[in-house]
Amino acid sequence: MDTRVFRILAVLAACWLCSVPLACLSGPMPLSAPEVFHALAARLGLVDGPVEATRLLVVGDIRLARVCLAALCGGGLALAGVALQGVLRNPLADPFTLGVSAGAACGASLAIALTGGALRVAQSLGFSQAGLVAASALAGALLALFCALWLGTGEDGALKQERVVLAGIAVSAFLGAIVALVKALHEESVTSIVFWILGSLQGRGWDSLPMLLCTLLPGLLAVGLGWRALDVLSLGDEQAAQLGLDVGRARFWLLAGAGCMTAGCVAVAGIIGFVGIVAPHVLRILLGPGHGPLLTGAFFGGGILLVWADVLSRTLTGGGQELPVGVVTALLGGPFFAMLVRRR
Amino acid sequence: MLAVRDLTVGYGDRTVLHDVSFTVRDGESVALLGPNGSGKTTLLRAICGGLRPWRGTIRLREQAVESLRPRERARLAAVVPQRAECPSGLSVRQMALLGRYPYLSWLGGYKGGDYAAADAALAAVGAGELAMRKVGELSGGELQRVLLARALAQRTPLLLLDELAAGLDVAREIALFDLLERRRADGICLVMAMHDCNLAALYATRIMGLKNGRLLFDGPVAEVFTEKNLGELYDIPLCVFPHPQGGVPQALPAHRAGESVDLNIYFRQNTPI
Repeated sequence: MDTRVFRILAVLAACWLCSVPLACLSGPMPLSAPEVFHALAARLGLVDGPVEATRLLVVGDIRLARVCLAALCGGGLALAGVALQGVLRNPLADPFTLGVSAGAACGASLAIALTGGALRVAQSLGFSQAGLVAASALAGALLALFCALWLGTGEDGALKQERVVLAGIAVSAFLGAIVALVKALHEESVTSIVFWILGSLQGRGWDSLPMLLCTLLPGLLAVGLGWRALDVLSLGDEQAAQLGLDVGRARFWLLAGAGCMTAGCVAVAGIIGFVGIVAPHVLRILLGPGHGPLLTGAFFGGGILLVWADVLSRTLTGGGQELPVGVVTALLGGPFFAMLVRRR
Repeated sequence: MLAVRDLTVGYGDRTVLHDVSFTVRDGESVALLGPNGSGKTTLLRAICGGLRPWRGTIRLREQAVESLRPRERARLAAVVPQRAECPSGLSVRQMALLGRYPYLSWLGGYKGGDYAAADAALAAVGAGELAMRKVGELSGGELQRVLLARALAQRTPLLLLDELAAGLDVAREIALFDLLERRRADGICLVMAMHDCNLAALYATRIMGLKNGRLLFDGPVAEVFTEKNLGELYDIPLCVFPHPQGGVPQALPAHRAGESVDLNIYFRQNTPI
């Protein structure tokens, strides 16, 4: 790895580390910077001494949890974006190409619209409303991923890239129709569904973390081990096979890993667009096409992007009102991306 | 090293190769001659496992190609493809390094030895000074050399070359074929699809003629490089004569006189061409 690439990665990692405490500064409760940092240090057990309980709760649990979730989700989405673009050799691919987002939306809207007996059954099983929505979204996302991969595999057992893309489109269209159907039949849940689909980290706390990690870690492992395969795949199937890659298998594991990672992020934070496409493209310009540095950079870059987009989403309007973070990423990402495309 | 028996293969419902059989021993250099569409590239594709034989077998070092894992196959046979699509942002050095992919361990990245192999291969093909350039900025001939470097970095006992000479100037062409000749003398085995039959006669130890998916002739240069064989292969009259230095047979088209006769007919009839 040349020194320039290494330096950029080091800067990104440093920014990522600094972003976490800095992003905890913002919030509706007026707290000064030393107060926030002190509470954070106390939460991590770095300092002793009494800290006001409310402050510890607000900073150490609510704010820190939300920032950590944003960092992980952003990183996961950007990483999945790099993997999808690499596997499908299509710069327009994003983490949602396989229909994972539509599956999550479908699961979430069904859970939101759930009423009466079914809801009581779910509650008796120990699900809170929010937990039910997240679990249902995850199930929908994984189901959609499974369908797309299954449909994308031909009779010869090989996963062809065009077929996977088409399968993703089919799955998305079908599940999108179910979401529309739920909205049409159950008007009182439309607002909640729309808000969920736009993506937000509002109200997400440490209890979301196990679910996120359960999907993020296997995905990280699959995609992280696949960086060498991604480099070889960028030469096309034929040359990749000549260089000793089992193309079908590599593609399956990369897609499954990226999809699994996306499913977790989407189940926790809703459908946050643009992180998975803007971050990889910016980093590709900075780091070049080698997938080792690119995947590392994407994890940090995507995390930074989503942490600060989330900060903006809760401060722009003020007064405790929040914007969906997906709207912020698209509002900022759109023009930025357009400029980037034009300058190239 | 390589044994092909009764190979029949094609695309869709079109059969390209019919019952092709031959064996290649270590240290042999085989030139594959034949008109466009005769099946040269298809044969190379099948040998490296890119196409599954419809009938017949291909064995590399006594092992059936389709039973080898891709990594094992890539340690036995390396390919220089004819029309390679390349991501333009990759640097030349990164490209050559990909030839080390079949040697990576399950978890590991490219190590010092891999970089050394890639750099040595680039230097061998005279592309050492291109190392930091981007693949997308190379000329056709430069890209061709980089692809050969990648195949050399694979350190395989069998090299499959599809139109290596395409896009190379005479000096580079000779330099690369001299390099390959040295590798062959070290025991590597070469199978080269070519269009330049004179280059084939100079550098191959054996020539195979492929026409309409069938082997027309196969043998040492001195035996099969004849006016009859080549004329039949390309469907035009050729005259074969010894090279002024060394006496290796060379060929030139022999149909100039025929063309002028045709022109005379036109002139006599007083019709504009």
